Amino acid sequence: MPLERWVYAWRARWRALFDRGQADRELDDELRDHVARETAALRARGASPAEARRRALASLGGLASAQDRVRAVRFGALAEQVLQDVRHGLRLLVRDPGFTAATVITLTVGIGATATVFSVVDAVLLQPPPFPEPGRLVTLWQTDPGDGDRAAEVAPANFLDWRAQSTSFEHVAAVQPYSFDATGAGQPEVLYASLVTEGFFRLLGAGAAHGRTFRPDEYRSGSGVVVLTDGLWQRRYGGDPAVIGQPIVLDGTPHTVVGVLAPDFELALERGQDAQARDLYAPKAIAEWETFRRGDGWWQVVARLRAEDSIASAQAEMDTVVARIAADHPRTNEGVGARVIPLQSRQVEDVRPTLLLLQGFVLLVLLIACLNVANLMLAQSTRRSAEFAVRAAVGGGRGRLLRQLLTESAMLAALGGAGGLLLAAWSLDLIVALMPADVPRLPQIGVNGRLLAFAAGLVVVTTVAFGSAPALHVLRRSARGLLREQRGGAGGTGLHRVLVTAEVALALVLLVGAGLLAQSFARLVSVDLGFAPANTVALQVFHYPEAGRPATADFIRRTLQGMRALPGVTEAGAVSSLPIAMADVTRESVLTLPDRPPPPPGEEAQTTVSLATPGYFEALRIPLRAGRWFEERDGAERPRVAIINETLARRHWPDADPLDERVTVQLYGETLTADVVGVVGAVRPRGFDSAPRPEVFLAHAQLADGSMTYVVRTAGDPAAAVPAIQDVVWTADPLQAFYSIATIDQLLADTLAARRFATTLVTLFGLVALALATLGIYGVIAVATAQRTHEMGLRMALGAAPGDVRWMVVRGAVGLAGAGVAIGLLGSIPVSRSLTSLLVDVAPFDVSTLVAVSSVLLAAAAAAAWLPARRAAATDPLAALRVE
Amino acid sequence: MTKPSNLVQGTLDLLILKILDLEPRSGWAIGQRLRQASNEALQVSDGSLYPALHKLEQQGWIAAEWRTTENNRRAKVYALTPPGRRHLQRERANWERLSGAITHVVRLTEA
Repeated sequence: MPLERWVYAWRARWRALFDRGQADRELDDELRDHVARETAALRARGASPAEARRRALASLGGLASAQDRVRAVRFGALAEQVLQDVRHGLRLLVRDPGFTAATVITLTVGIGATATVFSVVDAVLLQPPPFPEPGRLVTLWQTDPGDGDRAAEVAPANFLDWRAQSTSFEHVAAVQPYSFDATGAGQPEVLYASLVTEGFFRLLGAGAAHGRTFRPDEYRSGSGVVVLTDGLWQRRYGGDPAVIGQPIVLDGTPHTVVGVLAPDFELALERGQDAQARDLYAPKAIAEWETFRRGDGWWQVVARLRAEDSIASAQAEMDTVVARIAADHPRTNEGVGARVIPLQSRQVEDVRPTLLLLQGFVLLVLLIACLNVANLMLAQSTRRSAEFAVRAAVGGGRGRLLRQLLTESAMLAALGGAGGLLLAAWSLDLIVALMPADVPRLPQIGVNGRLLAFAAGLVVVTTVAFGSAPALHVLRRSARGLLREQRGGAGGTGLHRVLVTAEVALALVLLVGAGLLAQSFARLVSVDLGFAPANTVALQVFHYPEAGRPATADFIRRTLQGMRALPGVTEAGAVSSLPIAMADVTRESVLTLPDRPPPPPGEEAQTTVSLATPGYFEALRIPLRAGRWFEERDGAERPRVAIINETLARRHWPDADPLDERVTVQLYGETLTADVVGVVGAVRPRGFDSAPRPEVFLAHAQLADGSMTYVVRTAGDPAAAVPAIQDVVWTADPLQAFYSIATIDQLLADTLAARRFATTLVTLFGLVALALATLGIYGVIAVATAQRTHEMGLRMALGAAPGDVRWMVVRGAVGLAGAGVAIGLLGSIPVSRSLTSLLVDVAPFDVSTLVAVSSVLLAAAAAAAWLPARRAAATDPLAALRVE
Repeated sequence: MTKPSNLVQGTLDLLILKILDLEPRSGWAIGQRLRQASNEALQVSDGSLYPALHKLEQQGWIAAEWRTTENNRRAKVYALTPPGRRHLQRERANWERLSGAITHVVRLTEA
């Protein structure tokens, strides 16, 4: 029914179906009104009152009877046919449980997978940040041509100038990531904070869920107030509202909790390994020295555009502002730019490509599922030709038949949709656990109204998509005359083949993608890191020698001794920057060789400089290539010693022995020269996909520093040793908080989280596609073979061996799959190309992957044909011929 | 006299739509107008009028509205909807074609 008629009809229909009491009352009123008028008319023509009323009622055929007849029309016309269709459909679904199960399971998988990925995409990419008018929230970043013009953190003095000179924004505020050691109640703990400048909460439009945010007078040093995030409030205070006004000791100083933020408050401005959920917010007082500080920055800047400004106009204004600043401060700001990026796109720019990829792949899975169901329905409608023919013959119109088919499709789709929703609700937890933890808005992923609406939409789309196949079939057959065409079903085979070929082609595309990603992943994790991560625990501990706490050198010595004394611990050592670490404290320095002429300006060698204690290299199993390890005797009073890695050794002493040579580096503003006493193997510094770089290690005891990462190697399960290791640290200093403590295997796994997520899901989708395509091939071959029973019998009667018949059927299936494979190989070209950025050591057109995936699909086709082939070969020729 | 049961199926719908095309009316008034317009030749039983009205309403061809009449009674008044008006035009064309054809056939004389 066209929409326009619905506009007029819906009220009457709604009442007829759901509000029958009201409908009956109105009908009663209407008929009584009729009787009254008719009576009046009859009396006007001279009838007596009683006679007039009798005749008026008689003209209606009696009040009750008239009501019944109207009711019959009202309800019957509408509900009855629908109910009939549903009843008939249900009977069919129950009568053919195999078909029903196959269809519903296929749809459940297709809709479930699609709905799951949708709810992730929806929560992460589509939902705006949880602030009023989120479209006007932007982030500002500093760019430097020397740094490839990437959007980087902003230097304080630049921020102050930007805030003072720009007019495109209502408010501009800076955020400085910071970490506090929280002591007092319970175990010492590192809390991640954002120090924010005045106007921060106002520009976001975010208030506190409990208590308040900061007053203007609190944005000065020493105000000592903090606002907790909901996460910290729940974790540390169990969600107790009485926390407002309570003290919290941060870095040894008492602070006061003045508010708690809403659960969905999330800013997520950091990238990759630096990303860290915040625990609390504190006001940022701008220090005198910061007002001069330009160059590299460490502040994140957020701003709210004025209503009349756009990203483009703000960017244009910022371009003029930075040009003016560069003119005033050419030494520091030559070429330094500013970039305006919408808050929302900044938050999700890392994860967007992966999610879009998954969205694309999951739609392929859904498409395959629809094709599969269309195929099943088509096969079934071929079997039901007789039923259709009879219904057409007894006057069931073609429209009625189509509606019946559509009702059946809709019922199947609704069952599949319900199953898919259950599957999605269940797999969402899994998918969230699998996702990299730095993806913003993870907690918001869940079953919600949008997911339900999306699933309902999928049900409608799939109903139309697969319901149209049998409908087409019916239309075509009825055109030719249903009764005459009753037997056979060869007519369906052409469409069957097209559907299965398409399925195989799509499955191949998915499998190629999965194969490429899986291969990349395998190559990545088999990369030699240069150290042995298994059985190690890493603790990042930043020790500050405050009043009442032990001296740093003392703390480190006692900690390492305690660790080594633990049962099950084989080695322990510490380094200032671990190859993979939570907080990157790597120090870069210019390297000079005092015994060689200095290089021309601009060609100075760079190196990473770290401090290491004895036992560090041994604990990580970094091999010694020449010389010796650091030893306890390398103390402050002894000559400075250094260990270099082989990358640096090869670069500067390609043919000579670097031992006893001298190196000079810059550290803490000092120029330090040391004798090379050892050469160690190179490690990959930032995980599997990073390249080794030149490194210089200095003996820690000669330059005590409190910010160290401890590496503990255990004989058994490293995770089990964690509590004892923590106790060792707290024995050395009860006030010490941990920046992080984890097994190195876990740290490595975290660096691969995004990649593992994409690879796992795409592989899963590939396997589902393979299973569905195999099922599709089986269905088509089984039906086709059954229809050729007569032919098979004839062949065998004429002397074909069972093996020949089997081979013929299998060949048919492989041929069918072969066509799909050929098309799929073409289709995989653009898809593979879109994966290039995710591939490691694998070309997008990797011949071995293509061959392997094609072979798997062809083998699956042969396997799918095996059962029908055996059945065909077992045909009794006489029985088969008698069928005619 | 033509009994309602003898009305060709679907004809009553056409008649109702035509009457309502002139102006909105209550069920009773439709019956009156029908009798009057056909010079009492068409005696539609009021018993079959109401089922037909309700069916047309559910199909969206006509819409109903409760009004207060001159003597302060509530009356349900039916009116043609825009899709109903187009439907009437189609049905009227069909009817004219059909009745023309039938007339033509019944007047046939052996040539």
